[in-house]
Amino acid sequence: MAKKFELLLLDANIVIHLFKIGIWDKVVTQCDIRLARTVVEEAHFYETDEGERVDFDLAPYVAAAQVHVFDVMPSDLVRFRRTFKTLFLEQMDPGETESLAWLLANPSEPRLCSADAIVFRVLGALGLAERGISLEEILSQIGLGRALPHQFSRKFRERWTQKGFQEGLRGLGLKDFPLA
Amino acid sequence: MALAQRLRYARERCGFTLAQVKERTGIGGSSLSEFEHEKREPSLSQLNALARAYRRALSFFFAEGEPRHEVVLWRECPAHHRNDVEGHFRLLCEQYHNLEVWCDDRARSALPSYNADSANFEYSDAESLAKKVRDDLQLGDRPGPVLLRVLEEVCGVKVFHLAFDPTGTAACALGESFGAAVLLNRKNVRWRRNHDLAHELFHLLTWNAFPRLPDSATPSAREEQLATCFAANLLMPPEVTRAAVGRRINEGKVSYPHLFDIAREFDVSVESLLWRLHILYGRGPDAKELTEQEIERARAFAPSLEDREQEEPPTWPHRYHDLAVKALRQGEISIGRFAEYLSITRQQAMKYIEQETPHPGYATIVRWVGQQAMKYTEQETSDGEEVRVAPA
Repeated sequence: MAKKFELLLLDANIVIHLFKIGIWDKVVTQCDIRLARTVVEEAHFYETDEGERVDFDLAPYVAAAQVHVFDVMPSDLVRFRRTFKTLFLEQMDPGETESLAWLLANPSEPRLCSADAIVFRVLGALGLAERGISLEEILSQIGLGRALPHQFSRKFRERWTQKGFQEGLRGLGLKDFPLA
Repeated sequence: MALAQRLRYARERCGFTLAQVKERTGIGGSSLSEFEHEKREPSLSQLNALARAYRRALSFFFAEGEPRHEVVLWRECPAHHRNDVEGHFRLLCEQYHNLEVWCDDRARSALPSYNADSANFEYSDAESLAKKVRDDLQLGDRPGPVLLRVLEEVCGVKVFHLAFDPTGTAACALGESFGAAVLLNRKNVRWRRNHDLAHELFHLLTWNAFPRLPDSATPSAREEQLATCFAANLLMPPEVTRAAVGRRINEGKVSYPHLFDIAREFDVSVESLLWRLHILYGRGPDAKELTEQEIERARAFAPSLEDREQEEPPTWPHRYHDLAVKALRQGEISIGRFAEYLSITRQQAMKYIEQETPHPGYATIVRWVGQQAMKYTEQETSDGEEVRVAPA
């Protein structure tokens, strides 16, 4: 059966939240998910609203090929590094850096789902607004729509993508704007 | 410097063997060796694990040129894990600097610099410097209670608190990017840390006067004595201290409860106060043993006489925390990075975003203050001092 979303990259916050609200398994069956190695290593527990830690394990999903893991080598980041100030590497999670680098290396396919403003800013600045997606949009399209904290919303994505786009036009944060 | 060389440099700066790195990261020894000899490239996730073990930012491995070699000056190097503590301190300094850059809110480094000739620097110079600093920074007669805040908020010094042994030591650094920074021991009580802070301040003020070799971790014994003299003079000015003692003299003696009162007044330790009195009242080297006996006696009385409140200091200054929150809410830093900077979990970090919209009234108040402040004009007095003048 064809999946609703092909080549969907998720950051660690999204994975954690999906486990927390108990719909990870449903999402996995409907989306072709790719995770950066660092995301797999970092996303391994969530906290309940009462602050209790609940561990989860992505390894079985990887072993069953329900989730695909990719590695990025430092040399793959060269393009990324040439495009952005080195400090940008410090502003994002390593998993997000990996996902963005992979996304840049695979120009036509993947989309990146994040809850981080900085990720959408970078996509906006690179002129890749359409490659970002919010969790709200994914869940809505696969029939799992629900109320979510605002960092998972379409509005949040649009706000920060727009900000990044404007910064890109002004050359802020970028060493060499690719469209210029 | 290429990635392989930077990996080796970072490991050697930590003093780790390949076996120790293997233990910390789970990456095989042969792989580590291959990474350092440019035979194989680590994946980004491996590089991330190595960056954590070496207490380096990931961007360190991608930077161009030679790495900066920041000197960290220790009063006494920690007995264990020195490189780890030092690496943590340096990383915190860099993170603080990053937050300032991202928030476009760099603290103006207002730490005065004093020209001094180390070869001819005497105790009297340390005393004069202490007086000058007290006056220049408007620290008042009892600088102890305000020193930390003035250094952080007025002078832009980055002060961190970590736990390490021995407790009687502290460190400082003057980084090319992050500026002046001090590391205090959180295991010490506040009044003890005040002395440590004043001591480290001396090193920062005279940083360029004394020779600083890249691998010299501790200053000379002479420089340390001068720093101690400076700290005592800064925190316990001679006239004020004598007056405080004079008020409590009864039949030519000062009782131990009164000694604890004076120490509380200056926010210093009783031990520090007794050494100060030793100098101020000219006891001389022959009476050193007598002062040491008094210190021992004071220690014995401490459980009943020392009633100052002790609070656990935060690892980083409040401003560091506030900048991190600002950076997160302005979309300058990811949730994961924010969590890492504040040593909290991702979900705790997410709560900061959920509360991101400030009360609309805040903007109004801040705008009003800004408008009022703009009415004041900057003028120079006849002494060359800059003052802000109220509107006519």
